[in-house]
Amino acid sequence: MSSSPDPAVADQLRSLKRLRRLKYLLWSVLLAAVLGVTYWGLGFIGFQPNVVAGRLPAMYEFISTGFFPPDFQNFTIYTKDEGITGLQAIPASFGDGGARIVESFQSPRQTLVKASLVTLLLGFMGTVFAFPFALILGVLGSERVTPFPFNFIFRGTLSGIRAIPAIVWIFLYIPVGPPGQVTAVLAIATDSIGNLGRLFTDDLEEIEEGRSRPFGRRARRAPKR
Amino acid sequence: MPTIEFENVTKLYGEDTVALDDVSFTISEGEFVILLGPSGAGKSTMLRVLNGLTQPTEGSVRIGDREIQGNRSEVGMVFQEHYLIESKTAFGNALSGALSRNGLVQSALGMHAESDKLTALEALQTVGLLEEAGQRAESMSGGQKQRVGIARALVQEPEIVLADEPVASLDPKAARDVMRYLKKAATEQDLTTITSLHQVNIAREFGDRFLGIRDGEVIFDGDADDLTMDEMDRIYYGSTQDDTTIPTGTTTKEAGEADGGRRA
Repeated sequence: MSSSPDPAVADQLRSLKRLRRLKYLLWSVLLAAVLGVTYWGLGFIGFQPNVVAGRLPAMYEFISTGFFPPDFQNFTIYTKDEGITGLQAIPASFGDGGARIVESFQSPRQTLVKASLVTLLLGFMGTVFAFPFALILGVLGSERVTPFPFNFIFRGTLSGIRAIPAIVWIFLYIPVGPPGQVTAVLAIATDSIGNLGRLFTDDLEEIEEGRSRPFGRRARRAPKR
Repeated sequence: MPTIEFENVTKLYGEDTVALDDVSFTISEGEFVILLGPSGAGKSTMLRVLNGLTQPTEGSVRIGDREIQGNRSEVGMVFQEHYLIESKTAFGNALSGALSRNGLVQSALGMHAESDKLTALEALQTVGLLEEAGQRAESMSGGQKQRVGIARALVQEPEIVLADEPVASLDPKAARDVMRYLKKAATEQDLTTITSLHQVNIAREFGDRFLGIRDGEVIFDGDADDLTMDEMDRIYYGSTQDDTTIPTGTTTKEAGEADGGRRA
């Protein structure tokens, strides 16, 4: 097929090769810029890779001795008091028809099972609190509902919320209460507004035009036949 | 170029869904064959069997003196959904047809032989897209994308090209363009081409030979002159219909064109 290429084909191949060389050149410049800024950034913040590398064995030591083998003595009040350690603390905690778990939930003392319950509740309540706000902001953020550029007021709000990590929201909520479970719920709720709201906006935007048109303003005004 | 021989081919899906029912025919080298028939008649199954994408339950399919087993690189495929890489150029997409020769890693790294690059550009020239070689697929029209799909199949350097409803989603003008370029490629490279189509008028314009398929059986085999409206009704309805009916999958205009304005 290509024993003696057509002049037009040969010209086009040369042109594509020139474009490709240009593309490689631009990518090389971009790569050099990224590497340069990274190198400069490391120096600017005092990041010394050799120092970090030298401390990695200490990190390994910290994780391997602090977390392994897993010790579940703090799983429930029962295992704490009885001194049951290791993995066998888990089945022991579920004995007595669940009474040991309930006892741990009711006790003011801290246990793993109670901390797990608190974590789940924080997430659940945070999501429930976030839902109505996320729904309102998310729906209003869609161009299908609020005309461009006004929808960006709501999209921008959601983006702003997402730009701040949940851990920072906890610190921002300190005036409301000391860092703890209450501020954690508020922080999770705020963080969830940003993420859930974006989800609702995206879902609305992804609806095909054809499907949403019958429900639009123009369709409602159309005379019935 | 080899002949294609279907010999008593039956294809069942599950235990009782008959997609092809004891089908036998021979296609000579260089023929441009169009498969006609209502949806679910077995056209796509026939193409899939030919490409080795599915195996016949009974019978055999031979290309030349070899029986088809597994996917074959000498069979190029053009799909209804062109399956192009949208972020790549027409040239890059056409070059991906050389994948079977170069291997995945080499192709992914863009390390193509000079001869493959020339082949890709020549294929794009064949389908009238040489000037658009550097254009990204995402900015192309549906018809152009389908022509890139044809170019990709040509870069594979196939002996046979199969096209499964290649113009189903295109407007009549783009559909004609695509079929014109497909026919041109087939003629220039002496390729045996089998394509399924719903647009009867376009089929009559480009086909050398027509196979009418209904309920998994070939009920018509002839050229454009043999393809009368009664035959069309037989293919699409199973019997001759009233003049006011329109074959499945054709527009009123197309049906009108197909019978010289009788139904328009």
